[in-house]
Amino acid sequence: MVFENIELPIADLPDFKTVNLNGVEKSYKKIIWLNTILIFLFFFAAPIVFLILDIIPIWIPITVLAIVSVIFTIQAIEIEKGFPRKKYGIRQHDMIYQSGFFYFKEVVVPFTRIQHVEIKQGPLSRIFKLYALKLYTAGASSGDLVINGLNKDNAQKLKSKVLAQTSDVDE
Amino acid sequence: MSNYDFSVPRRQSFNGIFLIFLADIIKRIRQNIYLLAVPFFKKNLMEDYGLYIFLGLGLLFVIQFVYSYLSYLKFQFSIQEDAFHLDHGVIKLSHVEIPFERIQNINLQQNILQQVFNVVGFEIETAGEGTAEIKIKALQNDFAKALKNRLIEEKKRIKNEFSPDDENTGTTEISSEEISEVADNEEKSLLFKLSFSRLLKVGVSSNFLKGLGLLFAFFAYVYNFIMDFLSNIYDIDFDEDFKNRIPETLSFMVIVIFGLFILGFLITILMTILKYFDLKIVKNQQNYEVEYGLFKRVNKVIKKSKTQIFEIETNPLKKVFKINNIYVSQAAANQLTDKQKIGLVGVSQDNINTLFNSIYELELPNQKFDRLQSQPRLIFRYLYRNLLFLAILSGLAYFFYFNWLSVSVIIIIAVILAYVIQLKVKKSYIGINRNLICVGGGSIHTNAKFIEIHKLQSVYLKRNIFQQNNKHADLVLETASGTVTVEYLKIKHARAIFNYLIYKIESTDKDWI
Repeated sequence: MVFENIELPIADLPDFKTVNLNGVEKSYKKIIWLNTILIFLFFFAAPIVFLILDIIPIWIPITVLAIVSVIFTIQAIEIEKGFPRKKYGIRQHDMIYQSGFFYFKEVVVPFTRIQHVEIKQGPLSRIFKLYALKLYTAGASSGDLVINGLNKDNAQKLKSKVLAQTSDVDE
Repeated sequence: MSNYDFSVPRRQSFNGIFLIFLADIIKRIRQNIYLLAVPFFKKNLMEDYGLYIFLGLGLLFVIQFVYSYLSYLKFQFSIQEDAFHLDHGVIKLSHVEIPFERIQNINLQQNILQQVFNVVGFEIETAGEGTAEIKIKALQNDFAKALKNRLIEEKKRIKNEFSPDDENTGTTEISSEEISEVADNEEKSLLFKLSFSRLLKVGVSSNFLKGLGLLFAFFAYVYNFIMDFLSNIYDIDFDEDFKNRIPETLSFMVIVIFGLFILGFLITILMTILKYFDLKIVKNQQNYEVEYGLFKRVNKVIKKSKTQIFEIETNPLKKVFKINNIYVSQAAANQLTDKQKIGLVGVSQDNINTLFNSIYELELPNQKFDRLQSQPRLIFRYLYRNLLFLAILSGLAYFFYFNWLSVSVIIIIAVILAYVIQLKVKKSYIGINRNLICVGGGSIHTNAKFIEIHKLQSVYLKRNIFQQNNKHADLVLETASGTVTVEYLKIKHARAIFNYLIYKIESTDKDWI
């Protein structure tokens, strides 16, 4: 590839791929599983109930069961294979996060573009003492970055780091 | 000035409990408004289940009050040395921190409910426009004013190198700024005025499929409505009757289709004329004011700093007429729809250059881009999507209307789709130079979106399972007015651009707004 109009030698730029990334807490996987199972429990239960009650043609619940099983399998693969890929990293000027098995996503959010930072905790996360760090950028929510499954120390550390960086730049 | 200690976490005004409760109740009613329709479908509902309904409603009422009370208890805010802190949430606890320098705007307001309870609403805006990141529903008037002053002071303390005039920290100041803008009328100069004949050309060269779609939607709606109405009254199945009368002759079908196309075409022209009637672009100092519309006159200001995406659109017919459309996207709190973009239609190449120059301070003809084309593999992605559509269509044709006519129509559609897909892939590219990104797209039409690199919010690479194997990636650019995606670049190239863009954002001192 030729970059003729760019003033920089593109190969010398810092590569986000060289950064050492940290995985999220292992116990976060349990939360994802719990969440998934809670949802699928319902989707499995409904057709089974109909199967037992025998009030609609038998092929309908069976088809539904088959479809739900396929989706569940896909979701299971996504969780198992995708979990080790959930990693975050921090550089001098930005935050890196990657995730996903079927859709692998690598995001970089520069600190200068972060509007504010939030630490969140859902009911399930409270049991496992895990936190989510949410970085808001301007504009649509699709640009925001959420890192789930952090322990309290890391979440606080990351937040203060991000806050320090954002105010550094402004002053 | 104030004798409040803001560092102690505080709750809202006590009256706030009732305000929050009422506001929540109103919200719930609004969410479930369709339930009011239930009694119309079930007769004797009240007689049969009245007691249960009232008991249920009462229970919900109590639960809602408890919930509102809890949310009042959990809603606590304070000013610490570095930021405004807020805790809220009943089930999901959140802690929000807004550093003072991020505060763009503080609004105090009173709606009717708030007037009744003698409290004021307090909003802190941080980004772009519109959304308040923090909304406090109920504060006592004095306290709110003190809090606002304190925040403004803190912000000034941090940004003391700026002149105090620079602080846009209140609705009143904002409006005075707008007044001063209006007062400078002498500086206005007309850049462009769309004549009627030119507007007609814009209409003729518009994509009339939109009008056609609108027409179909309208007909479907009216058809359903009338059929429902008539069959309810006369108890006749009009559907069946109507279908039996369709003469299954070729000529009739052709006339109907042809007529629909003509009608769609005319509707598109009409819509365009109504929307962009008497379009005027006026230069007012640094900014451009745009005005258009016949019945609904739209007046918008294009601000240099707020402009995020500058999009130029043309198509073969427009090229013949030598006209172009420009769509300007300004910073907003959500993904911009086509409607929210500021449309400047029917402009000439010269107009484009002038506008481009004054927004970016760069000459458009001088911009040379390093261009990277989307890889031909992208064809398969579009193909899969359209294959599904074709399969459904063929299935329908096979079961209901299987003859040489339907087969040939489907073949024609398939050929057109293939042609459009090929165009789409050919026209998709990303170009970059030292200041700008140019993202190309389009099928029959051609468009180019220009974004200044320092206006990007974040960048990401997305690769589905196939792309992970065949070493391709989609590059996604997040701006404050929406997402721009470049599909199917080679991973190596995508990464190089990715690193370059991130480096550029982080090495510039220019802000995105």
